[in-house]
Amino acid sequence: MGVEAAPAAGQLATRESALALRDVTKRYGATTAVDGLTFTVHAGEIFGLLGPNGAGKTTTISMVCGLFPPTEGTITVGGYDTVRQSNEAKRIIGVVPQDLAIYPTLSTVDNLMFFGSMYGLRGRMLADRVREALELVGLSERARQPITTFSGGMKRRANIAAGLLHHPRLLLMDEPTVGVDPQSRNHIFECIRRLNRELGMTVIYSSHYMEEVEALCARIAIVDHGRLIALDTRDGLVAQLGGGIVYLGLSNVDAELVGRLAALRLVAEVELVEPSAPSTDTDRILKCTTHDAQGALLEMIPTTTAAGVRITSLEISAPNLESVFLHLTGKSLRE
Amino acid sequence: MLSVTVKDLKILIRDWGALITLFLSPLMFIIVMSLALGQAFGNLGQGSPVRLLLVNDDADGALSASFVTELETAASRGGILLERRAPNDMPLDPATAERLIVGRQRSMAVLIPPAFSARVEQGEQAAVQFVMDPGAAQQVVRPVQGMVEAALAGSASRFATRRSITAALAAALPGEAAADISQRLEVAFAQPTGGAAAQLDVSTPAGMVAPKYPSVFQQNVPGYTIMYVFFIVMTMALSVLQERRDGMLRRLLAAPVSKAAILAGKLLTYYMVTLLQVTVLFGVGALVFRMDLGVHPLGLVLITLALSACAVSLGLLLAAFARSDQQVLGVGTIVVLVLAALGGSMVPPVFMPEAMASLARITPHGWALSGYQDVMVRGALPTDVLPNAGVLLAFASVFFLVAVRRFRFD
Repeated sequence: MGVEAAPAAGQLATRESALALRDVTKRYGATTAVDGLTFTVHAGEIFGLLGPNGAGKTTTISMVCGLFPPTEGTITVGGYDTVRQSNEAKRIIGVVPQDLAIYPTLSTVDNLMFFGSMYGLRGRMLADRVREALELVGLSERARQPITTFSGGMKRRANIAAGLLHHPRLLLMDEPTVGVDPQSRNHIFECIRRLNRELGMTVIYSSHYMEEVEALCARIAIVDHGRLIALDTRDGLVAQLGGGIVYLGLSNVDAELVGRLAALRLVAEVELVEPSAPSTDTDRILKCTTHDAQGALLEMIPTTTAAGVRITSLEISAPNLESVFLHLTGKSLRE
Repeated sequence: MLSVTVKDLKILIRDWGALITLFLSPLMFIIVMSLALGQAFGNLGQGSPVRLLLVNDDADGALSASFVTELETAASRGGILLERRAPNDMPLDPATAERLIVGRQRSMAVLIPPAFSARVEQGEQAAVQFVMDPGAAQQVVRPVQGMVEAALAGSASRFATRRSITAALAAALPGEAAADISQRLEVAFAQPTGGAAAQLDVSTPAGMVAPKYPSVFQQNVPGYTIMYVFFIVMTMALSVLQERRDGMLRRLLAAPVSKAAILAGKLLTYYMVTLLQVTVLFGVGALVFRMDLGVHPLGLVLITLALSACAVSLGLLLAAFARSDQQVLGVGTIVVLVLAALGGSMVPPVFMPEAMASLARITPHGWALSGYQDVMVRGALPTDVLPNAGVLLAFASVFFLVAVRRFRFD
């Protein structure tokens, strides 16, 4: 849509694949920031990249943008290798970085005119795209004011607008809502949905906010320590937990009891985990993945009572992405 | 590339602090330092005349008349201004002369006491007084004192010779003839020795010309312009660091533009700003302060183009190495001020000891300043300052190549 020298659609390796990572690894000396990532993002989807801070999300996005090459593996954007065909790939990528990478003393219009020109937009086309982007993020009325006078949410919206001007096919958004108020967040979400729906943009939304990724994304890749630990739809990921997880603190646990609990009808899996904090009463915690947490609990209580074991603590983890992450990594997203 | 330049110019135009540093501050320096040092520069080259007060309280005395005539001739040759009246045009007397010296309005006076000639005529001991400010520069006072002593010795010697001859004639000739010859002798001996057959012939070796010194504005305008052109080093490095810190450079790298285009756009911005700086400051110098731009101002353009290239390359070098604003300000200030001091921007090389002045040659400032002054003061052709421009471009190339090797976008 007017992007200068935009690659023809026929050049794409597959029309369904907007982005493909194959065994992508990035090392800095002895540190491995990204470790063998492999996944594909389909054209036209909103794809979530979920993981705690330091999981390797920004490094992955930076490599997709062509800021630096992977140590190993390949990345293709719309069929273009981001190393060998860097400029072709860059023309179809839009970036909304985690940093507020806009010039604070300039107005939004001046910022957008500049960033548009970086993608080869000129003259009337540039002016039209700037107007369109301002309207999209709801900053038309403040377009001539310097960014320094903006609230945090408005700055974030201006930051997003700067990545949209050349109508990228693939929009990479790295933690785009850090520090914004709920109203601005909703505005940004609506904006992303419009871009996806009306312009057909493929969006990769990176965040450590589970609720955001859950609300926006059709498919979600969960990353931790640079590794992909799960990739599915939200429902598919949550289904891994069945009906939720019951953490059962017991005064005494033996293999026979674990076996009996695992054999219960509504219990899918039982695993012994270490307590997160020292406790006088609780010496062992069982993590029970269930098909129905409430029903399973009703089955467990008679079993433990019959074994003469006292329940010292009880926690039911509802089935959501947070509990999926906890289930997969043994830690919270915010740790 | 031009988009980067336009954007950076827009940012700079809104940065009042930078504009004050780059344009207003050097103008203030030029004005203040020119007012402060105007007199010191006035003494360079042709300089202002040395002044000597003369109080003659023996106006009718023949010896005094001869001495004053001798003194006038010697002073005229030596470029010394004999003053017989006070600065307010009031008559001068010994007390007024002393008051002027005590007040440091003048530094030397010659006082001829009353009846000086008569007393000498009668064979008494009589003295002319030379009064001087003890704080006056000895290299000025001593030659003047010597000149006064020589004039006095010449007059006294002629006076004594005439008196001896007159006495001898009076003894040897009849009264009338002796009186007539004595009168003739008195007229002849009253003439100063300057017209004598033996005289001093002043000459200079063939081809040797007097050095030409810059006026106060020909020193301060280029000097402070060069110093402040190099302040762009800090403005530029701070801008790069902010863009690096805020992720702007990373965002630009995600666009389909080359690193070279981004850097070139940035360099062009500050290159243009430094050219504008030089144009404004030299323009004010020429139009407001009547600074002489020389016969061939094209040479100034050559030096300016090379100087600006050197400054922005140094800015890129600082941006490549500095990791924080504090480093830019600390290192930048030292580099800019020390190079300016060594290069003669602050203290003119003509005021420096020879060894110190030769250090200017290791700085871009020194090469730029000598180039500017060769054009403005010594009438150099554009081709004459090509070596200066060449050295500045060599500095620029070294700075640029090292900077590009070390430059990081993230």
